[in-house]
Amino acid sequence: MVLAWPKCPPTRVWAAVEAVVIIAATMYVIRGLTRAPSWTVDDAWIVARYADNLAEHGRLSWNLDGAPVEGFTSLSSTLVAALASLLHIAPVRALHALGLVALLLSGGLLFVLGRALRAPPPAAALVAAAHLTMAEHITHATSGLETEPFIALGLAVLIALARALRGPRASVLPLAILAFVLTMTRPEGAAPSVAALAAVAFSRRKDRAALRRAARSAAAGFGVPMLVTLASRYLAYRALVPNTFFAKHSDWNAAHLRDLATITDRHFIDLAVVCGACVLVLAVVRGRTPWLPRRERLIAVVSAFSLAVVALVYARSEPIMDYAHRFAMHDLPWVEALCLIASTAAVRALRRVRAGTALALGALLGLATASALVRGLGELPNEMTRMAVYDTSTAGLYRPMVEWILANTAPNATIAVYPDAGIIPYQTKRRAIDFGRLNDAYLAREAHFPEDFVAYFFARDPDVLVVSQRDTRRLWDEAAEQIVSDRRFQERYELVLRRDAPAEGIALMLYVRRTR
Amino acid sequence: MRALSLSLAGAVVLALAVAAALDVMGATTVAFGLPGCGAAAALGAAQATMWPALLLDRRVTTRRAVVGGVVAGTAAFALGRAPFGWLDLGALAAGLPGELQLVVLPVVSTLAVIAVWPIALRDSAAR
Repeated sequence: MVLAWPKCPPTRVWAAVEAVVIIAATMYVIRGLTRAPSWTVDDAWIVARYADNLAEHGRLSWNLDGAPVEGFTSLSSTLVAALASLLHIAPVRALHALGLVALLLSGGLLFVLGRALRAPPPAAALVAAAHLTMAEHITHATSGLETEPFIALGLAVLIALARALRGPRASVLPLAILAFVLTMTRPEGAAPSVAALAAVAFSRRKDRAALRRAARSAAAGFGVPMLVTLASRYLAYRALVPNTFFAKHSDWNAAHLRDLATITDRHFIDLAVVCGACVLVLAVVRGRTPWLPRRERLIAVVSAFSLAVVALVYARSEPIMDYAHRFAMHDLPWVEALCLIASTAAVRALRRVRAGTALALGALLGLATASALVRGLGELPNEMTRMAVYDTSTAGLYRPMVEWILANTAPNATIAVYPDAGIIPYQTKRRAIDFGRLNDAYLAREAHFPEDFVAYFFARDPDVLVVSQRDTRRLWDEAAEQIVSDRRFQERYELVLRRDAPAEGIALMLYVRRTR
Repeated sequence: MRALSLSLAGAVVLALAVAAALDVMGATTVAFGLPGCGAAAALGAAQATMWPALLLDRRVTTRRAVVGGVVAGTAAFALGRAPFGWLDLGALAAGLPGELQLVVLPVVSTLAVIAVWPIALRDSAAR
């Protein structure tokens, strides 16, 4: 007996099941979002400060005077936040809204990607269910950073790529424009963008006219805007990449790969292994290896290339603010594209093997998806606690500092923050020196030793220093220790405020300069 | 029945061999984590299904035995990693000392997939 799924059950029944699964998973996300505590990660306030400076003073810079610096990673998020600021909407609210909308769209985007790849249902539902039940999404959608918009845009690029690969007459312009927006949202978006456009060119290599049309669209939607952006960035900031790249540059490390392994192990490995088994069974039964269609093959290559390039770049980057596997979450579009292609091949294989084997493997596909679901649901309490603890810390540590600075310093005072440069500089609106390096070109690119930081501190001579304590005995790093223990500091600065978060073992201290 | 007994015996022997090899390398399943446990379970169940079926039943073709092995191994992997309270073999194994984890998972998984592998044999016999 051979299963004939177009008839038993009909494809439209599976399509309905797929839609119901994705809608149910999206409803689950909405439920999670309504229960999430209100919080904003400190780095989102950095974006808000740039946005306010652009909207109110026409200057996309950290401070209104001095050399400009690009201390944000996401240009597109900053511009949206600046637009909100112009419309008298709090930039942080706009950033939150971006994250929420992006997350709520992501299930639908996976559904559309499945359709664009002509994936037989319920292939897309399997991946979408695993995606939407990842508890980390709730954290990132409400953090105020660009993680969720980047994931949604990555999926949109893959949809546009699948459509552009349909034939020589398919439009490439949507792909090129989305690729540009993706790259503006995070610079690592350049890897999948270039790979996707190259894949389109490769697919049209034998048709000169189609290739020329694709090249024109790629230049108009991606190439020219990228050149303009890079030239503007270089003229304004003397660098081709944001300052955050230099600030996070580090020795080789495997932190990103560990994070990626954790989220794929939790949410995608089971599904991938069962999909592989389905294809293997078909290969054994038919006696030959099933081959992926050309379009799926090209998308798999683009995804694998993107993962490899991003892993290589992150291997030289210090994962600052890597809560809830943030940097590995940026890999999700490419991991999920590979997973969708695998589940597509698996569902196709199940239609070609005997009923008993198909039923057994189909049940295992369901079990693998359910395992990912249960793991995602199990992580939700941890994520809720993470957000609540962070919010409590912000209220207990940062707000008293903000209030003290506003009450006791002049509007033209200079504050140094070590290292968290988010909410304190944003809410005090004072000139700020960021010893977290994101917003300081010298510290990010030229200061390599603690002595460089010490010399820079006394050269800039700030009115206030707000410094974090990493644990009960140590300040943030060796350079912070050297600054505070320096004789000049001891003579001229005094500790006026200290707030502790004993549960986390951290503290924040505010020193003010007595004399000039 | 004879094939069944040999399947279980095969799973135990294979698991012990893998455990001994890992012990020699100074590694345990704890270090391998859940993917390691799942892989051990899959390997054990697949082997325990495939070889006895192939050796003891002349009606079973190599192709069918391999299909049965792949299905059984995949089931063992998925069941071994399933995080449900009543089916959490990973958590069960994690509570056991050292290499015992490697023994328990394939055996329990093989028991769990016994309902699956006769399908392949029946299909083959019918042919």
